[in-house]
Amino acid sequence: MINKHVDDTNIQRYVLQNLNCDIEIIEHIQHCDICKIKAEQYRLLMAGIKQQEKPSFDFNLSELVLAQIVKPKPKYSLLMIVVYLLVFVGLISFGIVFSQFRISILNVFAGSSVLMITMVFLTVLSISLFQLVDFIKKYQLKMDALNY
Amino acid sequence: MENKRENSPADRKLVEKALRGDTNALNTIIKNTEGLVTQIIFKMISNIEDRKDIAQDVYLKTFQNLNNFKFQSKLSTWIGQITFNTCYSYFEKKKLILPDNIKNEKETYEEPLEIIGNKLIDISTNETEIHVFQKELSDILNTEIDKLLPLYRTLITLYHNEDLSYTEIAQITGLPDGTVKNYLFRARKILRDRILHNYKNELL
Repeated sequence: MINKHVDDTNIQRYVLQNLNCDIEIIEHIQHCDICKIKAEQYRLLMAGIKQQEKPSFDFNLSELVLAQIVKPKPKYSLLMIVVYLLVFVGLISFGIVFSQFRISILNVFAGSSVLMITMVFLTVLSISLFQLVDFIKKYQLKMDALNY
Repeated sequence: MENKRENSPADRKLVEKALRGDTNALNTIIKNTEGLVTQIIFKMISNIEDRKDIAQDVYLKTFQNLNNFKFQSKLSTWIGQITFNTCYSYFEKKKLILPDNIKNEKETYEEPLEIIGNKLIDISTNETEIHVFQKELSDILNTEIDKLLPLYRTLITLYHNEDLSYTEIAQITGLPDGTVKNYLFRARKILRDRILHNYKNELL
């Protein structure tokens, strides 16, 4: 058995590991009142720390974090809003132009035959249809590329 | 305490689900690790508002980097590490000193060990007295732990309250295992010395 008092580190080790400690240290602590008391103080200290109340936040952390990660999907996408806006502006513009120059516009068609008007109408419709088909094809290709 | 370096299959499943955008998995990760994260933040940071910001920041960083988690530790240890590093960055940003003050903490107090020893031996036979003594000690400990350096407070809490091993604490703090042990021994000695010095009359 060692005669010198055991230092704090070894007393703590003794309290934490008890029998896994060096046998000489164990023997000394068991026979020395001063070291035994020190060991008891550390035991009480460690028990006291273990009993400390766990802290907690006064708000729902999970809710707060998830709100920042999972953003709610907007009811209307930005692109749709822009399209509707453009259509609206287009219709308004057409309405203004037509109301201002309606007599002149009607005069253009007044001298033309029904056949002529039908041909112009069909040509405009065909071009619009071709453009629409082309637009849809390009859109499909883009979507396929984005989806691998 | 055993080495808990390995991760569990539950962690792996949880991470996979979270990476697929499963909100329930994200919620479970927060709920499972909130205790540890809160402990570290409360021990490291004293400002209440900053604690709130840091807690959110920790989880935002966690989920942003979840695909970089290599399962080399438990998920909770990895999140603990992010928490500790976030708190450390906070200290750096605020120009606060974390580890350099440690030398100044080394104080020793001489106490009349015989008197305290006799008291401990006296009360050790009475359960009620032990309970009262432990309650008093608990209140005193609260105050004294708060006076420790943030790093010491955190180490003490991780070891004694969160039951983490030296290796896990080393992973979280980025300190070597030996340093963690030494700091823990030192922190307990400071606590014991201060309590005996400041509260000798109340405890005896």
